[in-house]
Amino acid sequence: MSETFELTPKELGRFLWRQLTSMRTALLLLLLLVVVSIPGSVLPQQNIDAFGVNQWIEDSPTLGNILLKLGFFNVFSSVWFSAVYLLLLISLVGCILPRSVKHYRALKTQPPAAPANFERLTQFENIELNLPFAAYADQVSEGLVKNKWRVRVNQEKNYIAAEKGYLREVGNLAFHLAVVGIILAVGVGVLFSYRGQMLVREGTAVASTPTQFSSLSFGTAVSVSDLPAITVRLNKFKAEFERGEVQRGAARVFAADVSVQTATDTRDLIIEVNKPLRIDGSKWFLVGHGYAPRVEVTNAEGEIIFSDSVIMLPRDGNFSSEGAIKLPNGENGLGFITAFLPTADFSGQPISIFPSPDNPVLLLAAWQGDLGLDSGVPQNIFRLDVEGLERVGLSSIRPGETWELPGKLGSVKFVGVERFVTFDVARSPGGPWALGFSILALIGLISGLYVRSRRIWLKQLPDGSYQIGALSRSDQPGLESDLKLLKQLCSAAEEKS
Amino acid sequence: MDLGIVSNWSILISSIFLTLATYVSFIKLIGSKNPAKFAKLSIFFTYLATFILTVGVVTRGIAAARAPWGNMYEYAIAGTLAVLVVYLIIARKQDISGIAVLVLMPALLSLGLAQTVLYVAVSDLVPALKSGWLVIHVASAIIAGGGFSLGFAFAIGQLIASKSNSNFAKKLPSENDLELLSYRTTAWGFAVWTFAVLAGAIWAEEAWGRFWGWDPKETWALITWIAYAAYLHARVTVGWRNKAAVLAIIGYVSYIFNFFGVNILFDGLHSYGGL
Ligand code: HEM
Repeated sequence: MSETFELTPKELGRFLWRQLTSMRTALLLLLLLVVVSIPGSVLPQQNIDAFGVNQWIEDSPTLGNILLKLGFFNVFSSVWFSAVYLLLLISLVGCILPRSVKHYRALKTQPPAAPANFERLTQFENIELNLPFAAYADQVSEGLVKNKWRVRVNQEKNYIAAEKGYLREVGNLAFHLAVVGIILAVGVGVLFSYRGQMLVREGTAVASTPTQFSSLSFGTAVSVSDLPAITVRLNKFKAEFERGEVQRGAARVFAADVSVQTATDTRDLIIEVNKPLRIDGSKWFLVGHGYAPRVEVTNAEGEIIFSDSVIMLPRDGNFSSEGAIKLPNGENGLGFITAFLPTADFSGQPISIFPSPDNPVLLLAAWQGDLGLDSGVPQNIFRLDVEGLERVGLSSIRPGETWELPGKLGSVKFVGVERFVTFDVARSPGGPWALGFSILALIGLISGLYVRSRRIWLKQLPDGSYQIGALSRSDQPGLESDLKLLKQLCSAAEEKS
Repeated sequence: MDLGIVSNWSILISSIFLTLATYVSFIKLIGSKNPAKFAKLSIFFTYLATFILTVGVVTRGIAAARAPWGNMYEYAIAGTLAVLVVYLIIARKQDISGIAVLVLMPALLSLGLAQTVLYVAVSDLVPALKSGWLVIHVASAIIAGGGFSLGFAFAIGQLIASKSNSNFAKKLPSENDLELLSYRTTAWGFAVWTFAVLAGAIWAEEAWGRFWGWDPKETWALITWIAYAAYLHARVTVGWRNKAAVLAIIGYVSYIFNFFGVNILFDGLHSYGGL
């Protein structure tokens, strides 16, 4: 057995490190990152479309459950996705730090000596100069320095070397470091962020306390106590839709007129889709809306037992909406399955044909019995479970109309159309950092791509003739002008002597 | 006068000139007696097509009273214009008539698709798009596409020039020239694309409260970006020049997929295609 193939752990570690930080590995990791991202866009993802995920798994349970276990419905926080990008991150750091050190040293040392053979350079030519080297040395190097070149003159070997464009590598390094910065800012930012959603009906107010959110999640480093104390009251929500023939029904205007109350003051303002409310480090985004018809229910004795607006979840682009009203009362509970159609059309299945309330109709199916609300099992407030209930009747009413329930159970009045909006409430403190690094990355990228890094030389050969040459260290054109400058400086020196 | 109609007519007329330009450069390729003349003629028609298309885009913008890139039809039109402009800028400096067909044919295809499948009449925007960021973010994505398209055409030319000895291959610029052209256009596109993605992230934060949410459009924008970053690395890896060209092509495919595929196949926050 040959000893040369045996590696000590240290050597092995070094070998692996070198492999990991090689450009080829970085390249492969980049390609791998592309490959592992694709399922995240093709399959529904739990954090975006939980409903779609359930649907998918219901449709093909065997494959679905395997994919679920493997993290395919949560690609961007899966182990394998994280592994690829962490490796890339390490590779990046391992590659960039040594390069930064090397470039820093290069900035402190002189430009490299003239190569023995100019034929290998990007460009070179023989030029006609008649004076000895010393006659050019000072003048030319001064001229180059004036033109911001870094210059090295060697009077023994008779050459001038000059280099320019150090910002190219600086830019490249800054770009790569900034990429690391962006990834860190985003990663760390998540720890300090929270995000929640709440529904607010017109004429009501919500406070940013956990119970008022329909969903709420916190990063590891924040908790409920970090929520700012704010109350937002929705005075009025304005929505307008396209009425012309082209793109009929498409959204045109959404604006929530709110009163915002903090510990210190109260303000009236408008929240729009691209204009979130920024307050106490949190932001309130208008992300959705729908209808909340106001309903009044009276019991057999003529007493009002319910009077409120009822949120109905939109089911399609024309806001055919569904919901439920639950009025528990032991064995004599009343429940309604409700549908709201802002512009009702009864030519087929009842459906809404336009998102604005042009012809609003409320459909009600009444059920009686024990609604089971006291059983302690949490219920979906938008859905009535009719098992064990007795059917009372069906009706459709317009604003102002009242439906007398059969069997003298009471009546239901559709008082009027009101709306609700959905707010996303979020804090994402990594943002400014990520933004700063992104701008740095962009500047670095541009200088890394477009700064011309090049070296030029003037050399007197042993036979007394002169050569100039240039080496381009980028793919940008323009060496001719550098050589021209060198020639001009030579002729200027000649004239002076 | 209805400017929307003027825009439609301009775009139609532009595609006629573009057809002529494509046809002429095709004749030049398959062997004409006077290639230089045909090359000139093709460029002439391309100028006409570009000019009239500019009129089409501008009048569309005036008619809609906003930036003329708010739905798929408009992206396709403005995107084609960006491609033609980049093509003409390069053609002024260098003879690239050999690959003209590779640029003009897709441009024509895109104009044709726009006018048939994607067409929507002038209309207002949904509230989510009413933002100054629309101008910056989408315009830069479209401009980047101009660079990517040319980079793609040059990359294909490069692969043909390196692999084939056909008559067609002989009429192309040299493999080295094509490689350099492909790099320059792609790298330029990459820088602009970086900016576009960045602007998009800022806008997303403003509109939806997060910079990045792995929406399909965002995911594919990143995939495109990474594919091109891989291209830039492959290019400086010894012996990978042709593999790099393949990466430039992959990057372009994902750019195009992000436009057609994502708008049509996936349902995400970016569903503004208008189809
Ligand atoms: C997230 C990972 C990475 C990304 C997104 C990325 C992106 C880029 C981009 C866009 C460029 C060309 C722009 C410029 O020259 O400034 C570039 C160049 C370069 N990268 Fe990376 N890179 C990554 C990782 C790495 C790693 C790990 C290495 C080291 C092994 C590396 C080494 C280089 C080198 C040497 C260049 C210069 C190429 C040239 O001279 O054109 N990169 N990178």
